[in-house]
Amino acid sequence: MVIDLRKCSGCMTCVAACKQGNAVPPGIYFTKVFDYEVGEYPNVSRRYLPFLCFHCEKPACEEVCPTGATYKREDGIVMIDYDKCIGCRYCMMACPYDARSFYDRERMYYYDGGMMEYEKVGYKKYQVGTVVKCTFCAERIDEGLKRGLKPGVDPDATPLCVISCICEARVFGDLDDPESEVNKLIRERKGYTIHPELGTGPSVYYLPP
Amino acid sequence: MVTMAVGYKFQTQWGRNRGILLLLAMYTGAMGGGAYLLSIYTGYILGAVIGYLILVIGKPVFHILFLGRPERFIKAFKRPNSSWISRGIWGLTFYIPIGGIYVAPYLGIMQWLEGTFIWSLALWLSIPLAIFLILYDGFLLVASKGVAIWNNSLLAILFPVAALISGLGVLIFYTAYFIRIEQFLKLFEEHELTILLVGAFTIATYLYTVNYSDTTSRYSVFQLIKGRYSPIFWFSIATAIAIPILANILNRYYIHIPIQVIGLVALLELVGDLLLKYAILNVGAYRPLVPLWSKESIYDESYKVR
Repeated sequence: MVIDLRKCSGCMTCVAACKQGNAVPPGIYFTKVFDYEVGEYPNVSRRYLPFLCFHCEKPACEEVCPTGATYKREDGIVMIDYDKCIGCRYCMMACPYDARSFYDRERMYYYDGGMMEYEKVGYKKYQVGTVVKCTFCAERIDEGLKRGLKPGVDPDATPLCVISCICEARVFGDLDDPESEVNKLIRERKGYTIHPELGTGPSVYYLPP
Repeated sequence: MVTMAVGYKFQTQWGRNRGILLLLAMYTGAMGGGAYLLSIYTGYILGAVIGYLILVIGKPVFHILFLGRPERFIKAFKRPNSSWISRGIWGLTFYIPIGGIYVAPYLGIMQWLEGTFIWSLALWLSIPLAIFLILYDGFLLVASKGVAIWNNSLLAILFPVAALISGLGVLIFYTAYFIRIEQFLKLFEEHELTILLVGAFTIATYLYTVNYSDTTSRYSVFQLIKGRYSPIFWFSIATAIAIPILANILNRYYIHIPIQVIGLVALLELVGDLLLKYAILNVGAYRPLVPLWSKESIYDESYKVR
């Protein structure tokens, strides 16, 4: 994935789309948009940093997982098998980007009325006591691929944060394909990753503002 | 909508709330392992039994209780090739029966074992296993790439030294209050000063080194020495290192300190070691996602994630 920091307006539509589409429980975010300021008065500007799991090439979280619950798919997406996770949270300590969350207790938005139907169905895939994180909407990608769609091109096979972005700041594609849109953008706009010195090889690139 | 900002962010899972259980697992494991090794070194069999019991009861129980899914703990055996948690569980699994064979006769179980080849073999095998168990918590933290202050190899030295300090503390405390054997108390006191001085040197070296390794570590060290966790840190240094050193020197060279006071100082040593671990776990911070160029960012609270 490539995120153009020049285009991001900090509207957080991606955050809302992710939370709704993946039925992410309250208090947990698979994608976030951080805001920060640069410069000194009177030349100050506000910037935004969309953030999610970087699906690293050498994921530190996968290396330390004692059960093999965290694994990397052939297409490079780092996943968590909730049935295997024991909730030791070592992966959270190993991830240099703090991209994981611990689903410590059953949560719901409307406490007095209990869970809504949407919540009952949506939260089923998560297990209390396990670690959760962004999956690049892997289910969506898989469904799309089954239907012969191309991730990053066809909306039905592309992560929700990408297709919902009103500024088109997020671009999804195949980093292994040198001619892909993402690789072109990285080359042309000098895309960079966060903390490359740690050797994890993030698959999410940022284009400078 | 939650306001999110870029900056230093403390880890919150290990050492806080339910994470206290993990802290206790590390603490009892270190204390028990340290006491076991020191007892074997000094020939204090009762101490070895105490150390063994603290380790095999405290460490696994607290570790399992800490897990989000305790009923699945058996799955953690799977990946000793890459995960320190798996390695630790294997180490503990071997230590429990092997150390058990060695201490069993002193617990009134299978007394015929004492002096046999199996018993001697168990003794010699349990030593490297106990060493591994006091070492591995440090390695586990060092392997955590996310938290800068832990990601320093000196922590792998600090943790076993702290284990020896708390191990010695529990032995002195028990001996002073329950057994009252002056001979062993004097023996422990002889070793205490050396271990405490090594501990003080290791802590100072560790903090000095991490302070100059990167800005996030510096931020954590700042929190430890002058920031939010400084009262806990300095109290732990006073109780685990300074007061025991002072008491030891006074007792050796100047005045006779009553046995009850020596026991109390040992208890302070135990409290101090727990608080030191608590502070080190809690100042663990993630690196900022964007570079914070300002030098002051380390000391400026507004750079913290809101």
